[in-house]
Amino acid sequence: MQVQDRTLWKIKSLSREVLGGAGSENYRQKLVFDLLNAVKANDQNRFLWVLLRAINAHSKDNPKARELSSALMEVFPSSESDFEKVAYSVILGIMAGGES
Amino acid sequence: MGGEELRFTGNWFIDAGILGFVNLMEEVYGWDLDELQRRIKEEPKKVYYGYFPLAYLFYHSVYHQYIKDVQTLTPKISETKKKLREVETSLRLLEKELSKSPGKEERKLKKKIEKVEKKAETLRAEIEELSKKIEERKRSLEEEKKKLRDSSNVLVERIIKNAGDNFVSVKKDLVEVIGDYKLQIPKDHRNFFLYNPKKEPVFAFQYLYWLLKMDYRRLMEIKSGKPPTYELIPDSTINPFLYSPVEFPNVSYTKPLTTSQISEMLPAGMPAYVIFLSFFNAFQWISDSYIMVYTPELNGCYAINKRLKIHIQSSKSNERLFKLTWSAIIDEIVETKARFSLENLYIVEFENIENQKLKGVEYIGIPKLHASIILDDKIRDALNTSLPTGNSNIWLLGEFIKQKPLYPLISKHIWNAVRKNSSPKWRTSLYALAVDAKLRSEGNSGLFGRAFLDRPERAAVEVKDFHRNMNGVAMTIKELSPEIGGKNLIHPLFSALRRHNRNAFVNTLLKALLQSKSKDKVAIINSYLFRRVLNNDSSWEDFALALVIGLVGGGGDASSGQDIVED
Repeated sequence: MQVQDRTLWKIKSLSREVLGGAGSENYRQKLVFDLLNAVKANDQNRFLWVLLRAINAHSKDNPKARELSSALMEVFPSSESDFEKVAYSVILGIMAGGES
Repeated sequence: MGGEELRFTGNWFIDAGILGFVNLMEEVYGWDLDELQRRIKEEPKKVYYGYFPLAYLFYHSVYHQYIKDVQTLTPKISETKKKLREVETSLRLLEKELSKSPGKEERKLKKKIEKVEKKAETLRAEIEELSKKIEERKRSLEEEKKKLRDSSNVLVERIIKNAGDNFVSVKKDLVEVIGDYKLQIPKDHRNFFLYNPKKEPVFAFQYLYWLLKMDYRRLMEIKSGKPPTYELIPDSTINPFLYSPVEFPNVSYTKPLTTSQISEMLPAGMPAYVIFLSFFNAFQWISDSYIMVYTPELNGCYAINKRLKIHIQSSKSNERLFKLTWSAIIDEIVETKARFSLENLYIVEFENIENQKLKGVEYIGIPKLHASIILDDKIRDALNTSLPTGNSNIWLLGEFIKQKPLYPLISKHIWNAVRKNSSPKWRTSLYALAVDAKLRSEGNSGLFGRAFLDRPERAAVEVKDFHRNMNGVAMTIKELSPEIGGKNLIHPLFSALRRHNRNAFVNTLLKALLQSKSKDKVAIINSYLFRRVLNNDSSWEDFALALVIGLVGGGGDASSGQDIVED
């Protein structure tokens, strides 16, 4: 089943809220870089590991973190093309964090 | 009794005959469509049975001969002109040499120059003579036309009155007007009675008259007792688009239409054979094929073809057929805002007729979606340009009309610009990508899907939306380019696009964007990536290539006018 646009919007927006402001600018840059490498290699395990570790470290108590985790649970594991979409939605969400 | 005005029937073959009839009458008598309609309303019999057969005989003798002569003379002129150019070049070289050379060579050179000058003079005289010959032929054609026009009113009146005696009493008048005509067989007729063997013009007139009247008894008399065949059931004898009784021996089971059945489809009073005899006058010769532009409405179709004719006459003949044709069509349609015509437009084209067989026949139509996009001035202007793509230049609008995808062309164009370190045509490229994205998003909805039945009112608006979006983001990334090492990104991004690898494209770009300090600009690009590239499986490549265009630069090319940020 293809992941829906609505879900991607939700994941992007939750990622922004949960991790967009996490840590320093440098930390986020490093995080995004790690995530980008994982997507490039199409390594879903690595991607989730890096992502969940970040959520755990910075936003454990944030109710939105739980929401993001459950949204991710719904779409993982996924096909290669869906993984790309979900992963980039997360990454773009994090990158959008500093904007608001 | 008045006749019914000419109108199209919706059957392109019959309509081509009607258009051919209008063209023939205009060529010979100078009547435009309005004048012809008026005459048909007032005196249909005179037009169909008097003026028309006379015009047919004139066209296939005097006019035919004129075309033949001009076609022999014109290449001779261009050949001589070429020779003259060569001689003039050598003359210039000699003169240059003379101005530099020392005194002792002077005499020798002067002699040479004199000789070459003489040669040039002879060639000039030759050209003048050939041009005079063409003028002469033109003048004599006009004289012949005038002669026919002046005498036809009285002659036609008498023909109609005296047909009953098989024209015995008007024979003398007929001989006087058309007696010198030498019939030349047209390409589309084979074994047609008039040309097999060639008949005397007055006899030919009699045959045509009874053929139009569908009087088969008289026709039998004329054909010395032979029963009518194609006169009754028209076949490939008269038109290669029709069936051939030789090649289709089972034709008697399939019952082709008879002349009288075809007459019933036509405007009242119009003889069916007018259609078959004029059919090929609907076609025009452009570069190396015969073409007719067809829309199922007489006035529009007539206007388009007339405009095309004017374009052909005024063009330098080396312009490409497709561009010529479509610019005539589009000009006409844009002027009249006839969306209906464009949506129902076809081009019927064939290369030649050899042994009564059509060669290279093509029917080109244009889908509604394409039509609605073309009718938008801004988009049409942007696409109506020639785009360098490496080895050759392509006319983008032509490719669009032929329903070719534009993305590969723009990709080639951008790559060409990268290789040559030149600026791509920014506005044209972005509009082409926007159009391509729109067409891809429509997808292939099947023969009777939405795209087929609905009028795509919003197509042009959406294309402009896409363009605005692409243009905005391309400008943004252009500004960011120095900060993120944009020039170094072009190759990896291009390579990702060539491999249709969205992951690699987005990954490479995002890694570069991470280094940027201009967060607001990065946000614009990120939002674009999310909406147009990630969440768009059908046309993400169009939107992705727009980003590459931004990095390659340009944005102010000669064809673009000034409005880069627009709409």
